[in-house]
Amino acid sequence: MSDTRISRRTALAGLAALSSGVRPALAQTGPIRIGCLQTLTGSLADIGKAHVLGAQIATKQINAAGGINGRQVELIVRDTKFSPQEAVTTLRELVGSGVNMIIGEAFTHINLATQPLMPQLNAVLVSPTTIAMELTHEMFNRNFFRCGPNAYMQYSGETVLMAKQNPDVMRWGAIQGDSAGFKVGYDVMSATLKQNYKKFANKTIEVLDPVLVKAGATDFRTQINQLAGQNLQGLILMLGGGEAVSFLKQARPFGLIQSLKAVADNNLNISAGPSLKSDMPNNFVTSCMWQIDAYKQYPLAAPFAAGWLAETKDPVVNPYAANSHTAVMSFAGAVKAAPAGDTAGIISALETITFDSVYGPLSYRTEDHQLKVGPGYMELGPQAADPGWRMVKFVRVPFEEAAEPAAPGKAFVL
Amino acid sequence: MQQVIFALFNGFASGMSIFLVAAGVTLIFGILKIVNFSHGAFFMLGAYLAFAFAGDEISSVPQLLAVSLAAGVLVGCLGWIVDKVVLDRIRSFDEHFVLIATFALLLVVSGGVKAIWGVEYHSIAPPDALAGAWRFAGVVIPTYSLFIIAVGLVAFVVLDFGLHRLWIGKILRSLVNDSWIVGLLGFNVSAYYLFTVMLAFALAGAAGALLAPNQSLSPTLAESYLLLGFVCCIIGGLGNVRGAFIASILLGTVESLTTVLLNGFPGLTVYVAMVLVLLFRPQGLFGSAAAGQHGSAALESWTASLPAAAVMPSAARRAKARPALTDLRLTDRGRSVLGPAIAGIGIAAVVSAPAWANGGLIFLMGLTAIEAAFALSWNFLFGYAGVVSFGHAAFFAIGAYGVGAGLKLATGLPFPLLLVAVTVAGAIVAAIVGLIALRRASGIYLAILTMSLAEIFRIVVGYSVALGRDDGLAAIPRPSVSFGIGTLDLTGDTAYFYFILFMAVVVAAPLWWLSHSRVGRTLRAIHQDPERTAFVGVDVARYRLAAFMVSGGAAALIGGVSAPWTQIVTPEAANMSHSMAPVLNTLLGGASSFWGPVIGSAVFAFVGFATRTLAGISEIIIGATLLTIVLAAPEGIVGFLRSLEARRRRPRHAAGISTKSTTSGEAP
Repeated sequence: MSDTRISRRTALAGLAALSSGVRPALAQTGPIRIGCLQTLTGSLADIGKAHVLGAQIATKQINAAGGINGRQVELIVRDTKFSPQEAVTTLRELVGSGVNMIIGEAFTHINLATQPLMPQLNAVLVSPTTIAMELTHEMFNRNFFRCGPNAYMQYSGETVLMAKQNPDVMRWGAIQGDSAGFKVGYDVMSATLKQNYKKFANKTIEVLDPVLVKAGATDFRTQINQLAGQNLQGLILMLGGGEAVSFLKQARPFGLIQSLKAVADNNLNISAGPSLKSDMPNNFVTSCMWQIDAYKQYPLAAPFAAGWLAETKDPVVNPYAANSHTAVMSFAGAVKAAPAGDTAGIISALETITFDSVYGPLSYRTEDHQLKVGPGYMELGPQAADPGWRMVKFVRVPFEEAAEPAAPGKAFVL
Repeated sequence: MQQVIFALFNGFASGMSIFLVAAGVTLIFGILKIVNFSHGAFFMLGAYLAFAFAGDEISSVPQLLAVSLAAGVLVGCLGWIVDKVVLDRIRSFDEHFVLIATFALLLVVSGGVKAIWGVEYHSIAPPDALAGAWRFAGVVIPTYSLFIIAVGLVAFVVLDFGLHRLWIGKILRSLVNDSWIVGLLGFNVSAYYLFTVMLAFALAGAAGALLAPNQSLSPTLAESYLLLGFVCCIIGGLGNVRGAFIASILLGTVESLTTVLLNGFPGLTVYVAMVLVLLFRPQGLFGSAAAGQHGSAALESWTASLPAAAVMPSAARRAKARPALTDLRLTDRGRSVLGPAIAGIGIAAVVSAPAWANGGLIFLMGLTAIEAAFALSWNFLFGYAGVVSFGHAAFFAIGAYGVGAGLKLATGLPFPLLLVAVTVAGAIVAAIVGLIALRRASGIYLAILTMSLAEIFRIVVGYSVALGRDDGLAAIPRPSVSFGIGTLDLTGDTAYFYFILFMAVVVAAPLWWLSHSRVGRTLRAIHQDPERTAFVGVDVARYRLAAFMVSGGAAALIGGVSAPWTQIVTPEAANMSHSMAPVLNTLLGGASSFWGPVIGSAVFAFVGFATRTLAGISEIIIGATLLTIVLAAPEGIVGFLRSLEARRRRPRHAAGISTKSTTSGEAP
């Protein structure tokens, strides 16, 4: 994952790229080319790398099985450097070189920059893990497909789980990073916690206002002291991954971790256990889209996990990779249905087909292009023996329970 | 009440951890006059070294101390390399080149850490003895906080005692006053500088390791602590260890208390505190007044207090050693046809791009033209008026948001009017900022003040629902401009690309005219020597303010042009990285030339484009490129080419003189 050594081939590709800005002749035959825009530079590059690897595994598997309609698939990866301008540059470059199927970024601001351009560029963008609601609501256009849960699904699904599993947790508090994304997360979770406790446990709970933390904070003890004085039973953890780890490490001496009956996190994902170890709270639930045990009955799941292990030597699959794998599979399904590969044909196919994936058979909701897949979560807990934490279970919340009704062209209202 | 008492305690503990970083920054500045941007990266390296040595758990306090010592020694040794390869060479350079060099070093080291340890989170469990807490009257006192307080106090006492009581401290302080005399007395000046660098780096490495069990390890660690460390150095007075110590405690306490008493805007505290201090006491709480007003460095104030005879040799030597931007500007321009030929080819390639380049390259060229014009606007301020702004992106963002909102929200205002409006708005904001800031601070203090104001602007925009908060304004439409007799359709890529080129000329032309007019000459005179210029009757403050307004207005205009091209504006348009872009572009191209920023922008864009497939190491490549250029050609690309041209001409010229004299010698 963190290996960034440059191979000779990469270096040659870099040199070759120098001359690739010239306008190409459109290839009518040859490989089916899929672009992949990801953040591969900076502190969030691990997310982009997982996306790339998932897409590469899918590409290899498709090619090993003979390709699509006899044509091989070529994945063209570009680094957006977490910058909308860079993403637009590379997107235009890819489209300019004849690529009309693009796998998009995880990050909201980059999707907000690229999604509106897709009709004008006559290309299709499938974004595996972006959660921004507006992309399939007020900004909806037919050239964009969301290949994972949106913010509402991800956050509300977790509160469904909390209400079902921890019906006695009546007083919730929150620590929240001071950014728009985290504010949306808190707003959705606090509102849906109340709704779902009423719906599934028939209880009226209390959710306190969040304690705010500035971006890039490294000391959380004053906030922890505030939270410790609130007599909380449950905590919404709305921080970036590194900040969440620091927060939980610093919270232990205050007895906060030990006193909480449940913690709802959304960012630590599979890094929660290895990062927190003995600082793992009770009933710690974190978002995790995919896990082999939950999906092993589907034919594509085991080969995907094996491919991941072969590439990384790590038995734990990064769920982001599952979604980018799914994005490639959805394109593969679309090209099978529309062999000409033209944008209009691909869009129509994506709107109607059911394709195989590591999640089993999937399809997009025709009205708003939202993938019909339910969000998944890991429940973790502490243990006395090494490594200090344990996986309790993986839980899936059905799409129908988590998703909002389709409303393309209309702003989402909580 | 319990909350407030704890906040006060934690503010002190937090302040001590900040001081561990600030101590090294202020030490290097105090002795060497180098603002070391790379300090945060070496702090981060210390933390990762601790992780490499101890793994994910430290078993005892002695092990933590041993690991910290080892990290300190290793990073200190790296300091030796950095001093020999970088700092020793740039010590006599203009301070702005030093900023670029250390910024480049930051990129290289940060990139290296990511390449070695990856970008995943790591954590180190503290030893059991430091993992618990004490309780006094209901207040929880974490043991690790007590440990950090103890370490911070020890570091301060040792540094303060060493600098003020030990012989080595006295020598180091003498170096600050007059390194020339110290050298004359037989002391090895370079060795003492090297010792200071190694000590500061060792402090950074040890601090990183000591604080590693306190939080997670991630590549953002460098920036988080660096910013706080710098803020403390500025507030305390650059180069003043005691000031940094007090400022660290103050900042930690203010941050901690505002969490309890004013939780709504946690990100603003640091910048508001810094702006207030710089406005009311620009030299910092413990700095001397002269440093804030005239010296980008406290050195000027110290030398000013010495007898002229003692100062002259040292000052003269420094003036001679530093690459002189203004001197270069006064030398004759290259008469070679090479420059115009390259420029002609470049212009032809850009103008004909829609005929041969793909959409990505055209988009990149448009962005580059925008960044080039933005850099020209910055260099009008820096290269001519001698005023350094590190917050110039705020003006760009005013234009981008103004035009973006005007088009997106369908206000009905014509596009040209929007552009005029944002230009005026940028100039007015520049006037307001300039009226306050230019009177209160100069040099590096002004740079940090403008950076803080820009960050406050960015954070406040991020709170604005109307401007899309952190997500910004997306899907900004491109305009069509109606002139009554016809319509100029700018909705297409090609049409807007040519419009950008046209607007880049619209921005550049008045700047060129101004900088080559009497105004430009007056600004250059002010840059060279403001006091002597004032003596001949020039209203220096008025000229500087006018330059600030012109520069701000031009930046806002080109920002406005950018919004329909990118079709998205986010608060990142005003962030520190974007403010650094024109600085880097200018210094890379050459601040001494009007067109240097354009060349720098083009070269940067080319390097970025050429290395776009080398994912993950672009930071290292850009950092190494910058570092190489600063070391090899501190006058930038234009300066380098001019020196080549001068070298090429010299033999011929010399030969001409020789022939002439020989002839005349032979004549009867």
